[in-house]
Amino acid sequence: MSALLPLRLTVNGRTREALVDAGRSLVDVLRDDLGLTGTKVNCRLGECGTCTVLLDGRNVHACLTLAVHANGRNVTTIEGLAGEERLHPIQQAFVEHHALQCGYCTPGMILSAKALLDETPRPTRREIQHGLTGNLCRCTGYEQIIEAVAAAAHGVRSPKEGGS
Amino acid sequence: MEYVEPRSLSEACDALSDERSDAKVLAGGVALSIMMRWGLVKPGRLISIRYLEELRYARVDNHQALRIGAATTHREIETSSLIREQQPALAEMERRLASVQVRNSGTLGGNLCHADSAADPAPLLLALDASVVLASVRGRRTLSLKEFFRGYLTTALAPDEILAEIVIPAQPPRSGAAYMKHSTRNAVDFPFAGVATQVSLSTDAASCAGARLAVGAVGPTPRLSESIPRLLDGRLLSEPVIGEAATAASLEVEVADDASGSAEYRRHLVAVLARRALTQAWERARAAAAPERS
Amino acid sequence: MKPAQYHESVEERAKQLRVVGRAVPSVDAPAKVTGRACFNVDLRFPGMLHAKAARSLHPHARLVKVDTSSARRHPGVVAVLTAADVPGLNRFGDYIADQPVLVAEGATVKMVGDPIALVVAETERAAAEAAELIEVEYEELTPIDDPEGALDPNAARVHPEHPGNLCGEPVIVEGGDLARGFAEADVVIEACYSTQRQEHAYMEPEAGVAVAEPDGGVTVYAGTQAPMQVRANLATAIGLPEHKVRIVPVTMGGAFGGKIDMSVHPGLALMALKTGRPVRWAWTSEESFVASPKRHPAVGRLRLGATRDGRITALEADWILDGGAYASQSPAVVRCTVGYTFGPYRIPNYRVQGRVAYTHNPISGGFRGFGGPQSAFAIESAMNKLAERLGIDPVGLRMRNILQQGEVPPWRALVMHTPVTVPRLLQRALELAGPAPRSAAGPLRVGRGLAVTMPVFDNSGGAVPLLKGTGLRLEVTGDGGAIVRFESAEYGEGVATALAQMTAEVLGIEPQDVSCVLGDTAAVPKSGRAVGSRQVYCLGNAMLAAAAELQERLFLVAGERLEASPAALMLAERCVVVRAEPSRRVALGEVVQACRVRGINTEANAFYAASHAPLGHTFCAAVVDLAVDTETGKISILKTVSVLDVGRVINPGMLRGQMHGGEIQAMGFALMEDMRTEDGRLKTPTLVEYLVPTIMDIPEESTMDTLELPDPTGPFGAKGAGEHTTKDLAPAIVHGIHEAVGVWIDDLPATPERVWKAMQRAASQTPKPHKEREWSTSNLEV
Repeated sequence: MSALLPLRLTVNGRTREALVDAGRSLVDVLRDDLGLTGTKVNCRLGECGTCTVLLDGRNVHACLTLAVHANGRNVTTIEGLAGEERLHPIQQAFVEHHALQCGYCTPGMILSAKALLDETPRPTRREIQHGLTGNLCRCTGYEQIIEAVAAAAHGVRSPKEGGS
Repeated sequence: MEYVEPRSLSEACDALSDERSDAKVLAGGVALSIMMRWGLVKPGRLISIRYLEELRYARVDNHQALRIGAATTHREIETSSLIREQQPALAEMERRLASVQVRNSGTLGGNLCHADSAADPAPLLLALDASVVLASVRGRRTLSLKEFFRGYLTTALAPDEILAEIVIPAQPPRSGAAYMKHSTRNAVDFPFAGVATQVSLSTDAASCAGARLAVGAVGPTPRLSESIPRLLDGRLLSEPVIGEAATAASLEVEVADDASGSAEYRRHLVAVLARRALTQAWERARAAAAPERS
Repeated sequence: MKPAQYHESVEERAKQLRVVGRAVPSVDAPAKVTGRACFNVDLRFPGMLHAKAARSLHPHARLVKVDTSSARRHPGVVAVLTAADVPGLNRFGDYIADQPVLVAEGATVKMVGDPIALVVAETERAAAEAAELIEVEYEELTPIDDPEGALDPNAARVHPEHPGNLCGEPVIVEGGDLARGFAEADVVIEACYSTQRQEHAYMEPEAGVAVAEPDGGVTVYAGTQAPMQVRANLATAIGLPEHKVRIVPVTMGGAFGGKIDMSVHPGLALMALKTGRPVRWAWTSEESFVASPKRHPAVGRLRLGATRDGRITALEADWILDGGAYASQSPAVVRCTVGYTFGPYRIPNYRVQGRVAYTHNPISGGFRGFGGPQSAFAIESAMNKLAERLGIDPVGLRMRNILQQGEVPPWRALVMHTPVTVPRLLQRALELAGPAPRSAAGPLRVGRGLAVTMPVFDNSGGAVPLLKGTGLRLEVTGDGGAIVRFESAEYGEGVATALAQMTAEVLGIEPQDVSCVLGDTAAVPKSGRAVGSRQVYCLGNAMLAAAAELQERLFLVAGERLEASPAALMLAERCVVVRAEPSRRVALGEVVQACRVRGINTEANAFYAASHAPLGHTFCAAVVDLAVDTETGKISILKTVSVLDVGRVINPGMLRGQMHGGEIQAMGFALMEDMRTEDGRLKTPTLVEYLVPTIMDIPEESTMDTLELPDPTGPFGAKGAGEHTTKDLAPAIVHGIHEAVGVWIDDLPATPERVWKAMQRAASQTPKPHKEREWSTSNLEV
């Protein structure tokens, strides 16, 4: 057994430390060592996207990211998105546009949406689809997710309640 | 498992030469994480080159060759304005590779070293006549990509070597490249078949001055077509000529029935994709020739 | 007001609905977008241990020896459990108790993934390492993997007690005179339709934590769609009295019918009781793929006879479903497969049979649509073929045979008590779809397809009387809020939001004033499983009954306070208000407090028991425009239109989500999803091989619409709606493929290779000129 490696990274603006095995993935460190279970986990093969976090602002699969590769870097998880009082505009749009059902893909989906909007503030429908290719959703059929991301980008509030 | 993060390529080469045979060079870690999860590799030591700035670049050298550092991510290539201008087919191929998350972590060098037969970049780079620069404490050597791929998940990398750079030579005048792939889904999937080609035209833009075509995801390793240069070089290009060449290229590939599809269908797809890729590359070559002719 | 009275004035009241019918956000959305929502995999208890199962590597083998000694010695291991540690029956199943918690030494494993031993350790890693050290000596036996062959009376048996490998009884629905019906037919469509095994691929695999309680009981924190049934099944399986078992269903990352049966539950309980410490067990995605139930692969041989003018005279069908190794929900699923074979049509002479075969393949069980998508694909495809054969417009053919209000369909004799709106839905769908697409030059050919269905929403998950009653407890709190308690589970279907809306509506309060307590078997009455599109209807009716009872008591007390007759009062704006003089009012909370002082119960229990198992009929129509790449066989969905009649819509935003989500699952079913096996082994063991649609695969344009005809028996006129779009899209897609390139795909999924091969076959036969259809809605008037 080799020695554990000291890890020091910034998670949601706070410096966090952990001792990790070289082969340990970032998702396990976030969920188990740091108690940040908002980041989900499923396939561990880079297919489902539920473990998506931002590493230095870019969306990556935390399951395929070795924790040591986050050393000295900035990680944003779903817990770091909302302000004290208010939801992040993307989160707010997901709530208002019914862009989630079971909610398991939602943290990853929102973080991919954030990475997309940071780079492309006014995306087309096609660009939204491209930005979210790596996040599977089995409940919503994606349509309301696209609407929510578009609404967040364009600062649109929810459609008038009552219509379908 | 040990972990080292060298500060330079030469440090990385030193670390790798350290008589330990069970060391693995790690770039983005995408493929390696999966291989480790499945217990297919159990390295004793990981040498990470992910953040070696020295290996993250795309530039054009004095000979107009495009040189890409091995640790450059797929996403960096996809979004690089230099690459979009110099080699648009490469940026397009990257945009359709796996998912944004994989492209943000995975590197071009890592992808080539993993040598998955179904990878997207290999056929295109073969068609573009790319070569790779391998570094070790013994020095550097350059191999054509054709020599680099040895078989399924197997490359010509020596145990102490690191893939440092991908070199795409200056493209011939009046040329165009294209990559076509088929997969059941419109995203994320490995290609079921992928075909890349580069076509250059004669000065009158009517006949083919040179053509290369590579097929991926069919057989154990991506490979260059032997018949395409023979059938197209010097020929007056037309739809029937291209169709004929595409069929010939499809007859060359070794196909077998497998869980994802029949040999017959795969061969048919190679012909379709080859024709589409050749047609697009031909169009692009004509477009490239247009300004010089007007 | 009693529910019945309420329904009488449903139209009147609809105009005044404040909360029902609004797209209010889901009550759990804020927690889910911030990562605060606790799913099964997120459960953490102090001192918690971790578990891993050793599972069978073979589809059929006798366990000669199970040696756990090395595993027990592995550092960090606390306990290793085998079948010898299971004190109870060691069997479970809702319809047939045939599935073991752990397979015993000497017994046979019946599928890959059957659990053989459970390791409990201090860390997940130690548990996984130790599980690898369990040495199992197998005597491999020949697996039975062909369901049709399995049904041969002389075939080897998967379960010795089930001769001919028949899982449950054959289901036969017959009537009229079949021979006469076919004799009267001018044309007979004969076809064999097959559909594949579909995996739910919910994003959260099965997981949970169990805690041993000081009284010798056990609490299992783990999601399920059927908490009370899991309680009962778990108790018998591991030999505990039912009152010592508490199931607390945790928010699930998707279920879709795949989380009805027990999964982690009995193993977790055993491990917690054995070790006395909380134990966590989380299946990997691969374990979930191998061990959880799937949609039944089905083969249906169909004969559909009709007169020259398109009147159906006879229908005969024989279904064989692959049930896999254990019964799961099979006996109920096959009833739906048989039932949906009839479509929404008047069929005078019929015989439809369905059988489920035990095999050594993965378990088949519940999956959204519950046996319906298979036969809806068959009957709708046969109808489209019939239209082609007769040269009749597919819309007109349907109109000629559609059932009418007041008629009784052959399956599950329930009179159609609402108008049969299929023609109107189809008309609306075609209007919304606009002009049919035209092919341009190039390899793409476009086509338009359609299909209709008549889903029932069901009280019991397939008419097997597991339960026919829906309990619910409604409490009004001293500050004028409300708590609704019922058995259920939250997996994204939004039951808590719908109940909050309906409760707020009837109590004159706001949705945010209402909390729902779901599923905890120690805190809720028995209300039945979260299946069959039944929750809004059954729980809504139960809630209305409870609210009516509470209102009576509240008005009695408030009437005295306001010096008004109870009949003159109403609930509004969080107050009890004198209807004729709204300024005379008293806050609801004050009334509740006054009730408490007077010893009047401010909690009401209701038990809604429908007299019929299918609760009612809903109607759906789908139109699909698609393009076929004639060179690769690949399909692109250009446009979908789905129009539903599900009665009053409680929450249009959430309903639309259900419709889109069901549609994309159906699209996956139609085009790509295929959980293949070979000799009982999965060929698609992960999400790399098993393809579910990505965001790049959805239709370029997708329109959803509803026709809101309130059902007089439903709460606020609502019917069930959760599963509907899973049924009509596949046949509509296959129809569209035919319209585009002239071939019929009878075997799903319509993968690129399959479509291409069908086109190759067709091209080698006599080509017939292909002409594009003129689509109009005028055919609807028959």
